[in-house]
Amino acid sequence: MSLAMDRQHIVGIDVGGTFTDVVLFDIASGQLTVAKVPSTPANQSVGVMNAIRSVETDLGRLQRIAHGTTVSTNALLQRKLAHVALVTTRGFRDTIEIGRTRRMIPSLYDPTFIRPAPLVPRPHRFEVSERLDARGAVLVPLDPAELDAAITAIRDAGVAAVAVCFLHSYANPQHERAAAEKIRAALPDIAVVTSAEVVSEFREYERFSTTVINASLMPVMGRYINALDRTLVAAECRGRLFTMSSSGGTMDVATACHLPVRTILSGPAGGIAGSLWVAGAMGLTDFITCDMGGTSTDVCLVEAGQPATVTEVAFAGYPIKGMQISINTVGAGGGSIAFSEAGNTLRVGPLSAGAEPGPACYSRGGTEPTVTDANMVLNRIGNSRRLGGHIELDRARAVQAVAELAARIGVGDVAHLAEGIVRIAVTRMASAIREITIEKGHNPSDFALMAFGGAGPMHGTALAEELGINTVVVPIHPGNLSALGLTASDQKYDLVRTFLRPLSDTTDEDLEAQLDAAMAQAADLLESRGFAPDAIGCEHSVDMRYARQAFEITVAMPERPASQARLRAAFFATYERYYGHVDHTAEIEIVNIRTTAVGRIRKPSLTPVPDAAATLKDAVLGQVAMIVSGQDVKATVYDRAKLPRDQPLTGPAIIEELGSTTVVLPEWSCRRDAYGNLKLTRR
Amino acid sequence: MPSVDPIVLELIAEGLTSMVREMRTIVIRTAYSAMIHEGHDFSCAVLTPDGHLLSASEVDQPTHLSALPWSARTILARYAGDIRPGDLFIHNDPYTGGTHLNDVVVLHPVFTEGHLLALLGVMAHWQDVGGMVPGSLSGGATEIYQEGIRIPAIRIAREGRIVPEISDLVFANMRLPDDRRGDFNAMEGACRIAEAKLIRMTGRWGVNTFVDAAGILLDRAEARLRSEIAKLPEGDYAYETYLDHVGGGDARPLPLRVKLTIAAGAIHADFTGCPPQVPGPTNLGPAHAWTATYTMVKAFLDPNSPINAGALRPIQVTAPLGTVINARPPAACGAIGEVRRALEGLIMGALSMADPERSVGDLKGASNITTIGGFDTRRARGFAFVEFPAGGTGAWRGADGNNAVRNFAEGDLSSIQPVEAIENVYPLRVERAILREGSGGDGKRRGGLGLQREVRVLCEEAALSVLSDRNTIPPYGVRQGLGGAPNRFSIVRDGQEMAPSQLPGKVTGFKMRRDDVLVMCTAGGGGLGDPLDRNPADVLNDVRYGYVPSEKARTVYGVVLIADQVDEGKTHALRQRLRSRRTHLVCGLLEGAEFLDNRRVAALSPKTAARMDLAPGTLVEVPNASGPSLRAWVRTDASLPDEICALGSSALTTLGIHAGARIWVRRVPFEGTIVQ
Repeated sequence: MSLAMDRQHIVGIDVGGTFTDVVLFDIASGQLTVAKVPSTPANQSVGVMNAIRSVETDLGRLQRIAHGTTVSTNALLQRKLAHVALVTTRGFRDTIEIGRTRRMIPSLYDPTFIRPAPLVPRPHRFEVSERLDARGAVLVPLDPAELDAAITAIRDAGVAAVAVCFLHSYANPQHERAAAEKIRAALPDIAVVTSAEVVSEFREYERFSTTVINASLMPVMGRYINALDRTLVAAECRGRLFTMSSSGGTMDVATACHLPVRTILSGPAGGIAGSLWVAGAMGLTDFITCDMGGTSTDVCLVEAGQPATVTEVAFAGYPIKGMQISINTVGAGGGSIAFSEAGNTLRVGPLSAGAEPGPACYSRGGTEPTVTDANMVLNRIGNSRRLGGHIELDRARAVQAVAELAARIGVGDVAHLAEGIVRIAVTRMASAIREITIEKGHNPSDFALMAFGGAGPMHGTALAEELGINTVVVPIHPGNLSALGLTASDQKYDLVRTFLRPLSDTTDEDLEAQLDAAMAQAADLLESRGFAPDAIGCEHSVDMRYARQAFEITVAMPERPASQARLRAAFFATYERYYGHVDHTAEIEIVNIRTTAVGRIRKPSLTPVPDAAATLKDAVLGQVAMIVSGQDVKATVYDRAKLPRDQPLTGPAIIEELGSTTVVLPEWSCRRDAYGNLKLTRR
Repeated sequence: MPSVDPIVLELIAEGLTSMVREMRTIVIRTAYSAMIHEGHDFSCAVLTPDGHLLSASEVDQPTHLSALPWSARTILARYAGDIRPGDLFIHNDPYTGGTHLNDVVVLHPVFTEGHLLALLGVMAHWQDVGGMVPGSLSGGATEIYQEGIRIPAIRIAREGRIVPEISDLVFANMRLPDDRRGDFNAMEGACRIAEAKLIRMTGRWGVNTFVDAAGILLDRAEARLRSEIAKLPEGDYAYETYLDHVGGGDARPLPLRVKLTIAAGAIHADFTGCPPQVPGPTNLGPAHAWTATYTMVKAFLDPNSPINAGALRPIQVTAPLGTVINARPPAACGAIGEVRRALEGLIMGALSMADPERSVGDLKGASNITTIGGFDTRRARGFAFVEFPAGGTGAWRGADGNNAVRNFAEGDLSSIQPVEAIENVYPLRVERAILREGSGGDGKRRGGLGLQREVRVLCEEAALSVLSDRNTIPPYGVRQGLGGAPNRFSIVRDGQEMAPSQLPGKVTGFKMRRDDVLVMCTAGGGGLGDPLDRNPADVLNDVRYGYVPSEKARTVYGVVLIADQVDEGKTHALRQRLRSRRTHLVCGLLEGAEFLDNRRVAALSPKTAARMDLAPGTLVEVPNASGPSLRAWVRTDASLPDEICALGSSALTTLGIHAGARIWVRRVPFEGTIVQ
C-alpha cells in the first residue's frame, strides 16, 4: 500500500471560545466522525491536539488538517499583540493615528469617548526620506543613511515586528522591498512585512492599518502554529496543516503566519464553507445562513452559490482591507441574558452568560435568565439529551431564573415571559437578516434559511416565520458545521492590484494583459504549493466606480476574452442591482483588479446516510407539552439519528441530536434527505 | 396611564428602530446624490401623528433631529384636516423647520382604519437645489434666493398620485433634475417600505396597543432625561462665545450668548442676547437652537438615551426672531455649520458651569470646508478637491482629548481624503499629513491635537476657498485649562508664509499658483484643569510622543526633564515658582458698555496693562475653576486704579463672582498672525 493510500483521513477543526469542534472524514468510506472537546484559550494548540486525538487514533493516517482559528481574532480583540515598529515615508508617520478622522466606534453624543489607540505608539514610528508619485515613479530615492538610522532605533525599541509602509507602494513596491530586505538582514529575529505584500491597493490609511495589524499578529500566529506543528510532528503526523481564511478558502500555514490578518474571520468563514457544501449537495443556491452560538449570531447572504463579500471591514476600531466574506453579527445568542433596565422594561442581550457560568439551566452558578433558559421553560430543548454530551440541563433552575425576572417586571405568567424572551431574540436576528438582504436589493422571503450553530436549529422556524421564509434547512451536524466545511474547502489566495484608470482609456488588450499577469502570478503561487495545472483556477473581479465617486463596487469579471464593453455592461448590471438606478453616460473608472487563486482539492463528498429505522414511529423518543403562543401543544420528540429518509413529519415536533435541538413549530413539516440534512417547509 | 405588556413594548421599540435602519439602507441603496449614499448626510424618522419624533436610529444626523419634526409640524399646520392616505409632502424652508435648502424633507403619512397613525419622514442633503452656484451653497450668498429653490410646506402627491404641476416646478429649478427625482424616489421608496412594515406591526399588536406603546416610549425617555437633569444643581448658568466675524466685510467678532436655567427637572435655554441676523449665509432657522441644546444636554447627561421627542420635553428654548439663530426671510442660511458648531460650544460651556465634574474642553467649532478648484491641464478637465479636516476633541475629567477626529456631535464621516486618492485624481501633492504638535489645549487633562496637512498645487493655477471659524478666537479650556490652538489656513509661496484672505478662515477664490502650498492646521481641543496639576509622568510621555514640545513642558507644565526623566525636586520648585508668578487682579465693576465693537471689555489701568505686557485690544481670559474661561479684550482706562480688572456685570454673573474678588487674568495663547 502506498503512503498516499495510507493517508486517507481529513480532519476539520473549528476552535471556538468554549468548545473545539472536530470532524474526521474518511475518504475511503465516506464516513464522518464528529466530536467536541473543551477549548484551551491559553494555548489553543492543546485543544486542537485533544480534538484530533478524540477522533483519530493514528495520526499517521492524516492527509490534511484544516482548521479555523480565533488566535488572531482574540489577540486583536484583547489587544494581546506583539510590539510593532513602523517605517514609513517622511511626513506621514501619523497616518495610522489620524486615519480618516473617523471615530470607528459607536460614540455619537459621547464626549467621553476614547478613540482606539494606534497599534504603533508614536515613538516607534520611523520616517525615512523616499517618495513615489501615483504612477510609482520615484520622486525622492530611498535614503540609505536614514534607513540605517531607523534600523538602529528599531533594534533599541524592543519590538517583535516591523511594518514597512510607504506611499504608493501598490504602484511600485521597490522601495518597500528594498527597505524590508535591509531590515530583515539587520534584524533576523524580527518579523518584517511590507504593505504591498499585505494588500496591494491604494488608500494609504486602510493599507497601513491592515499592515500594522498584520505585523502585530505575525509573532502571535507564528508562536501558535509552531507549537501546533511541533506537537503534530512529535505525534508522527505527516498530514499538512491549513488554516481557514476570512475569504472562505483555506491557506497553508506558512501563508497564515505571514498574513495572519487574513484569518480574522476564520471561524465564521468555516460555517459559510460548511453551509455551501451542504447546500451544493441539496441543489440549494440562494439562502441566508444563521449561525447562532452562545453570545452572538452571524448571518450571511448567499446568492447563486456565492456568499456576499466585502473588501474592507472595521474590526475593533480599525479598518482591515482584503477580500472577506460579509458577515453581519448581532448580539443575540443562546446565552444572551434577559434583564430589566428600569421598572417594567425588558431587554435581551447583548450581555451573555457565555460558557461560564452559562445559562441558569447549566447549574454552574448562572442565575440570570438566558435565551436557552427561556427555551427550556417552553419545553423546546433538552428533554432527554445532554447538551454536547457534557452538560446536564436543569429545567427547574431555568424556570426559577425566568420566574424571578417575571416578578421583577410584573409579568404574571412565566411561560409568557419565556416566549417573549425568545421572540425578542428572534426579532433582533430577523432585523439583522433584513438589513443584509435589503442592502443587496432583495426580499428575505425569496431565500431559504440555513440554521446551524448550537442554538440555530432551535430558532430556525420561528425566525423564518418572522421573515416570511418558507424553507429552513438544518444541515447535518449543525453544531460542527464549521469543522465540516473546513474539510471541504479549496485553497484560496487572494491577490489584488490597483489599476486606477478610466474604463474608456482601457483597451481590451490592457485588460487581457492584466488578467494574464494575474493568472501567471496565481499559477506560480499554487504550483509552488504542489498543485497540478488542471487543479488551478482563477476568479477575477474588478472594483469599479463612477468617476469622482469615492467608493467602488466589486464586479465579477465576465467571461474572457475580457473587453471594455463587457466590463461596462457588467458594471451597469451590478450597479443597478445594488442601487436601483444606473447612468449609462457617466464616466466609469477601474480601481482594483482582484484575483482569487483557487487550488482545487479532492473534496470529500457527502455520502447517503442509511435509514437507521424503517418508520418515523421508530424515531419517536416521546411526547412533550411545548408552549407556543401561550398554548400547551403536544409535540412529538424525535431522535434525529433514527429519522428515516423522506418520510415527512409534521410540527409541532422536536428533533434531538447530540449538541443541538431542532424545533418544528406547528404549521411546519420536516423531512430528512438522503444525506441526513433536515428540510423544513411551511405548510 | 395605559399599560402595555413589557414584551410587546420591547418588540414595538425594536420594530421601530429596525424600521428606521431599513429606511436608511434603502435610501443609501437608491439615492442619486453622493452626499447621501457616500456622505450619509440624511436622516430617517418615524413621527407621531402630531409631528413629534418617535424613533430615529443611533446614527441619524444630530443636525436633523429637530429640523425634520419641525418641518413635519409646519406641514401638519398647513394641511390640518386635509391629509389623506397616499398624500406625500415636501419641504426645505429653513425658516419653518429645515436646515439649509439642500436638506429636503419628504413626509409620508401612514393611515390605518381611516386614522392617521404616524408620519414617516426622510431629510436628505440633495447635491443641488438650484441657486447661484452648482451645489447651491456659497459663502458669498446674501439672500436665500441665491441658495436654491425654497420649498414651503407643499403636497407633492395627492392620494397616491404625484401632482405633476408641482413636481415639475420643483425639479425644473434644480441642476440635473433627473438625479433629484432619483433622490426623491429613494426617499419615497423608503417611506413606502416602512409604511407596509408599520401596518403589519399594528395589525399584529392592534392600533391601540401601538399608540399606547408609542406614548410610553416617549414618556419613558422624558422621565429618564428629567431624572438626569434633576441631579444638576438648580440655577442660572450663562456663557458666551464668539464667531470670528460678523461677515459681509465686517471683521468684528459676533458674540453669542445663552443662559441656561435649570429648575424642576427641566432646562430652559434662553438665547436672548444673540445678535441680529447677518448679511452673509451664517444664519440659522429656528430648529437649530433646539437641536444644539438637546444634543449637548444628551451628550452631557445620558449619551445612550433613546432619541425621541419625549427626551426633548424637558428642554425649552427661547430664540428671538430676527437673530442669527432664528433668522427671518430672506436671510441666507447656507453656512449652518459654523453657527451651529459655535452654538454647541456655547451650550457646552454653560453646561460645564452647571456640572463642572462633567465639563469638557471646547471643540474645533467650525466645519473647515476647504476647496481647491481649477483646471487640470494634464487630464484636460476641471477639478474640485474638497476636505473638511477634523480637529482635536476637548479634554474631560477622565482622559485627554482625542487627536484629529470627528467629534461626538458630528456624524462619523471621513473628513479628509486618502493622499493616494488625491494624487491619483487631482493635480496636487500632499507633502505632509501629521498631528499638529503642541496644538492641544494644555491642562491637567490635555485637549486632543489638531492635524496639519500641506498640499502643493501642481497645475498652473487653482482657486482656494475656505469656510471656517475659530481662526482668531481659539477653542476655550475649562476649569483653568488652556484653550486649543485655533484653526489656521495659510499659503507658503516661495518659502514665505502668507495669508490667503483678509479675514482668517474666510477665503473666497484665492488664486494659488503652481508650487504654492496650502497649509491646513486644525484646532486642538480645549484643556481641562490647571496644567501645573498634570501628572509629570504624563507630561514626560507627551514629550516622548512629541505631542507637547519640551519647551512647553517647562514653561506651561512646570516639568523639568533631565536625560528623558522627570526631575521631581526641580519640577516641584518650578511649579511653585510658576504659580507664584501668575497675575491675580481685583475684579472691579465696569462702568459703561460691557461690549465695545462686539467685544467684551476687560478694563485695566495703563500701568497694570503695561506690567502684564498687554496692549489694548489683546484677547485675555479669566480662568474659571468650575467652568470654561471667559474671554475679553483689553482696554486701558487711566481713571482705573492699578491692579484692578473691571468687567461688566454679566461677566461677574457668568463667573459667579462679585466685585472685589481676586481673579486670574491671562493672555489667550495665540499663534503668530499671518500677514497678507
